[in-house]
Amino acid sequence: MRCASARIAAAFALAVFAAMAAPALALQHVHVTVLSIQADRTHVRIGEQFHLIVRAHVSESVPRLDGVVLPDLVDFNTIADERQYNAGPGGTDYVETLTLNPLREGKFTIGPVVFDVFDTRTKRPVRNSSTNLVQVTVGPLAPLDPWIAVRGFVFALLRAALTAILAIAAIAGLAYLYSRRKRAPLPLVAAPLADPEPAAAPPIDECASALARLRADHDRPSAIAARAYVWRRAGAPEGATLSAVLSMNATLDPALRAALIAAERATFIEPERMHTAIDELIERLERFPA
Amino acid sequence: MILTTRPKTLIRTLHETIIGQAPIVESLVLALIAGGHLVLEGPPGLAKTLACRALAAALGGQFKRIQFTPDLLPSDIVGTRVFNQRDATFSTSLGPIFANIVLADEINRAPAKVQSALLEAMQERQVTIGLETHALPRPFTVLATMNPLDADGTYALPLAQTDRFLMKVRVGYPSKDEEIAILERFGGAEPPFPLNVASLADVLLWQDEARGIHVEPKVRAYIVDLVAATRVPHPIIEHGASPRASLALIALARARALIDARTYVTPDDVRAVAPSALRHRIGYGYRIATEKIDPEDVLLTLIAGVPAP
Repeated sequence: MRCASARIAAAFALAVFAAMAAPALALQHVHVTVLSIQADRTHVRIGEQFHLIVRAHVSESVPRLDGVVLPDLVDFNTIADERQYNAGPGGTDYVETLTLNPLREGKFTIGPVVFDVFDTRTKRPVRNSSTNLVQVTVGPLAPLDPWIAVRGFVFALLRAALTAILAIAAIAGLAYLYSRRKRAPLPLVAAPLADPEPAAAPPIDECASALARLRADHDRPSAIAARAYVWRRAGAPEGATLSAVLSMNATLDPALRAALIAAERATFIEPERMHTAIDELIERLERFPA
Repeated sequence: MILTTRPKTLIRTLHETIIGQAPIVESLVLALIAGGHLVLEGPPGLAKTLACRALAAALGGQFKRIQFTPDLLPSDIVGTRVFNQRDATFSTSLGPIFANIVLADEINRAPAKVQSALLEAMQERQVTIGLETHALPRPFTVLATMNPLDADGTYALPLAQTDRFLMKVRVGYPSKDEEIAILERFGGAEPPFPLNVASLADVLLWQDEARGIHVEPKVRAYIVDLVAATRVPHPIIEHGASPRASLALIALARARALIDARTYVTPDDVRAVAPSALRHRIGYGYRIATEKIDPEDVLLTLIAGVPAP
């Protein structure tokens, strides 16, 4: 009795194992890395065709993929179904392209694509699913109303004209801003002293006056006044340095040149040696041509 | 006052090694006499380092060269405290800053903290390592070279440091004739350096003489006017030069008068040294970059706009 029971139990366990193992054994032994579904157009009219593309990639190189289950496509008429396999060392690519034609208006959810496999990595049966796809189908194109066409043409014309006016206004505005920017004076500093208008030569009797003052006062202010005189005599502007004056007048009279240098010295030399410098300046001025 | 012609002799001798580049040579001697520090800015290969080495050789004394690199540390410049395991004491190892002429080559290749290590040395002429303060030898001059900031791998010098340089000289390319002369004289070989043309004692004497050169009140006013012109509100200048610029101008003008064997300063002296003394002390705004304005043009226009006495 016990022996019969054990036999029944063993037979039952064998049946259960066989029932569990059968689907796993029927599944393809692959590892799925990609499973997707997409459409080349998400909005179509009735009567127009579109393509539904199912892609899968498995890590193993296999001649074909069994068990890729497409979603329910009852709302579409299948015109063509093309499958491509590309097996290589990196695995197998599977692309199925369905050419469909919608049968009625509406918003349809297509998917998911399901691929049951026995995963070679986890050693378990696995169900792979793609995402869903939403496809919108609208009614067939109505016959063209001539008034609508005219109105569309007028609107297009007006839109083009308005765009052109706005573009011209924008370009004119930018050009105005750019010209204002160019006109703005950048460095707000005084103009350089180079190349000024030569000062008018002072009359000769100014020389005598400067000399008389130098002889009488023999001090710094008289030296400064004499320097101002020879500066004017050389045609030099106010505020120019000696080297600028000399470089401006390459063909300067040697007597005037010597007087310029002597005047510079008498103006800036230390007080202890000022009187000697003033004597030298007097001597230079005395040699001036009348 | 006993005037010496030796600064001019030194300049003439340096020109035997450095062909052309008259502004560099004159500026080196000006900075030396004025007792200040100089920074030479220009692209590589324009005899900046060579001029500094030639000056050091001509003067004798201690010369040290520090090649600034991004991984340089402040202790590599000023020195550090070293622990002696044998007698368990610390001793001070002085850095290369302890020399009469220090060539800080490519100073803007080191980050700010290293550049700042030079600050105390440049301004106070002393260095503090640990708790000890060490005086630097006299004369002491830092001659720095730097590549323009748009060159790769360079850091901007902090304003506090640029202000401590007495003058900044822009180095340009030599003329065609000068470059031909360089090829003929050297042909790629190391140029001969003039040796011991003047002594360090001569330099100290020149410095004393320069300090005694007379500056008329009108020239002093001209100096202040020039510096004040940089502070007038300007669309391009963000901040003007500090009073340190006025001090630099007067020191450099005196040094120029000494080189010219004069005992007084003229407005020409001030005008000649003004670009080098003011160039690095003016802060320019963003328009310099956006409108591609040469700051040198702004500076020269500014200087030309101040009438000389």
